Amino acid sequence: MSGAGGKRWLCAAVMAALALQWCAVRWDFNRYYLGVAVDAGINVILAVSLNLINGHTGQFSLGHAGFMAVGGYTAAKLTLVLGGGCPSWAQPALFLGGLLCGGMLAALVGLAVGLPTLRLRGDYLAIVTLGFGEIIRVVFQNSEFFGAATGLTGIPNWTHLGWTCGFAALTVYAILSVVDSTYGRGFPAVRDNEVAAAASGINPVRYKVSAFVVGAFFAGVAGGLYAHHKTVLNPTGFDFLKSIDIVVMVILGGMGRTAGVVAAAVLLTLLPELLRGFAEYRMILYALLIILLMLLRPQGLFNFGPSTRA
Amino acid sequence: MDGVTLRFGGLMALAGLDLRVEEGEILGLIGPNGAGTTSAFNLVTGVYAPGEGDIRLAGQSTVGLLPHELASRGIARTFQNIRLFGSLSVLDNVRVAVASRQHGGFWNALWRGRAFHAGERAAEVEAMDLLSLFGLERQSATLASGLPYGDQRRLELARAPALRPRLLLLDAPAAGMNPTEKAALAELIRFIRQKFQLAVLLVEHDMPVVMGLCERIVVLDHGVKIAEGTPAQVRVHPQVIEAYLGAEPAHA
Amino acid sequence: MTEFAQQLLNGLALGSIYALIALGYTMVYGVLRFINFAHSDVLMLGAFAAFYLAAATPHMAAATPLLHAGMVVLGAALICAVLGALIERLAYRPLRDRPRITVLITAIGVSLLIEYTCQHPAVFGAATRSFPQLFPQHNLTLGGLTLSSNDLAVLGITALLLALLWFVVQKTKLGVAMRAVAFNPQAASLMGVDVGRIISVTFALGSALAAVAGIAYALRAPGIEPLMGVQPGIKAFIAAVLGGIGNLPGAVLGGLLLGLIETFAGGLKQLSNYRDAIAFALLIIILILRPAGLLGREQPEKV
Repeated sequence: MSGAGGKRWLCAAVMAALALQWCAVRWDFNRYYLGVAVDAGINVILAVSLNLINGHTGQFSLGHAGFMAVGGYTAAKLTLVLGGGCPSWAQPALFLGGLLCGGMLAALVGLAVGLPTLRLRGDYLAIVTLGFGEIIRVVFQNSEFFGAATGLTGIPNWTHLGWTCGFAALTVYAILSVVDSTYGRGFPAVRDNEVAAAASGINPVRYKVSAFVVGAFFAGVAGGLYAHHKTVLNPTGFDFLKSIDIVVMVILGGMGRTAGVVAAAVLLTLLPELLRGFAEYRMILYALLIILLMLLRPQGLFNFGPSTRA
Repeated sequence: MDGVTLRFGGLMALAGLDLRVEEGEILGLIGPNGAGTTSAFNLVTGVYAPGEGDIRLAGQSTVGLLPHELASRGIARTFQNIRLFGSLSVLDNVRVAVASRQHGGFWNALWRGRAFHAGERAAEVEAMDLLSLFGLERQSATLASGLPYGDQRRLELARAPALRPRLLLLDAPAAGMNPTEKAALAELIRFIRQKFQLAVLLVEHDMPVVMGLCERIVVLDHGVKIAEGTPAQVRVHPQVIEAYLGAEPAHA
Repeated sequence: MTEFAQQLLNGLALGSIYALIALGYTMVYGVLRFINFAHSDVLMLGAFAAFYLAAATPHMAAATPLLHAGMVVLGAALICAVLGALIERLAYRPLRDRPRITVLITAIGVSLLIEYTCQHPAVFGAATRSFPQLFPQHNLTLGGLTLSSNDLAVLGITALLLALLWFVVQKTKLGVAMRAVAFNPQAASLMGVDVGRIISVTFALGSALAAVAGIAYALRAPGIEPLMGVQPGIKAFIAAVLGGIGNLPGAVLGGLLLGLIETFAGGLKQLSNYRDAIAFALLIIILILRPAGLLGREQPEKV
């Protein structure tokens, strides 16, 4: 992707998303398929944003569900409080505002996680981010304001295909255009060799924290979309297994490869739906898939050739 | 550096070392294994902070600055064990160093305005120029990890000037080279010094290279400076011979 | 004061369970440098093994309860030792020399596989079952303190196992080999140490300890179910990191510390809901202050 073409591509993608939504309403698409499509879009946002942290920058975060929770709860609370008296024409604006607020707050939390954990790497970083995710969950679980263990219910069902695909396109565009620039080459440079990066004038701290902040922002937006899609939120939905799911998408797609990660996110959303007939064995198969993948294709299912280009 | 001391736990790596690199000179820093030469490098580049003493660049103290801040203030280095960005292309290895001098990267990259494209083009041209100076232009699209050893060394050398440094630190650049390659390397280092108007501080265990290349040599042993002078003076210095050959001290 | 002493005892009992589990994490980390996520499931399997062993021998339980308890604990430990070594052989050994993140993800996969398989109705099923009281139960009262015989048994067994492990690691040829592999696998293999065998033995030892811990945990818990290992597993892992992962005394220290902190925090009404969060917060604070843990030594990257 190069230059102004990128921005044009983004506009086209957002237009297409809105047109798709219009068609969905006009011809009354199957609800079930629409729901799965929205799930896929949300997972694309989550996986692509985590890919910036885990793939491009080589950190290892296991706390993405925590950022998602922050965004989801923030956006849902905002629309629940303000949505009551809101005229229907202003709803999209409120929704957009809620999503962005959720993203921003998640980014703030990302900063809070990214800064103190800079000195940690590998397993230690993984376990600390996991810990942060769990802390966030426990805090929501015990906060009356956010409905404690029952969570929030009656969230307006505002997330539709247009919003989801639009934000998915925006996420892909943002991460691709940042990474595919001279500035963005600093992310893999820090990953490949932090000492050499610093000796080349690159500030490793800034890159690592930026990755966390940007990744968390989009995870927060995804959380907001998720909340207004499921219409109920409860803390157990954001536990460490959710984070693992997202990590598996990134690894399946090939760390640092946006196209592969998008494909993996869609595939892993569809797979459980296709396996619905084998509900009893579904999760066993999922676990086996992870192990086999690591044994046979640890570089990712959709990772071909040696280039790091996205 | 003035009276710089560095300790690791109870171990004294460098004791009260005074070292001065003049503008435009090639200064050799040598010593037997463990003498503290690499420690001295890591002090100058901010990897370690000195326990005592002061390090100055063009009169300003650099103590407390982080490695990337020192790099952007004009101190470039190579590493004993080559450190490249293996998953980046040869061109990108140099380009990131060029770009570290630019500002406002993130939002520019996101917005992709006119200034961004101008900056990208400039960085690419500059990086490409550097590659061709070092004879690497044909490999510009290969991954750095896929280069043969000699080219990796040259790429590391090509990346350093991208910072527009005043001082270039070379840590054992001739390691693992054959005599022909060593001669070419010496030529290349002289060329870099002249082309980019910088001073070179060279740590090298290969004596012919050091003797042939450096105008001045400082010899360390056990973290202490034992000799300083021209190659000819250092070569005959009794303490230096002793340190390298391990002769019994005269007074013992 | 009695209240405090009581909490102290409870904390130590819980902490010693964490310590037993943490030892397994730390030993595996020592030789292979990765977090064995499946360790918490070995603990669960240990509890289930004990459950079935006990159910299969009702006569013995009635006749010689102590001997029976010992047989059940030993049997479960043996079964888990074999399972642990098997997991290493099948899932981790093919990944030797791969990036650690690959192994870490595989470990998560193995953990999920065990959990989901065990939840399947044809295996254990997801429901909670009550765990038999292996040891005859007495409550001793001592100057206002209530000591449950189970807690005492747990404390005693832990102390015994720790002493045994210390002896093995410090005084036997096997222990020397284990320490050599942990220090430098390549050098150890050049010195004639069979690295593969040592790794198997390490997994077996750690898994046996986990089985004992699983039984001890089940005795305190309302019952056993396939996900019972997750919580103590995460806690014990925190304990291992807290003490400095790879460091055996560190794991014990971390386990006891975490057990105490959790018990005291749980005793305060305002904090009891945040018990799990406190354990993580503590971990994060310690790692930020001492990235290598309490007893670990930081190894800066050589430039």
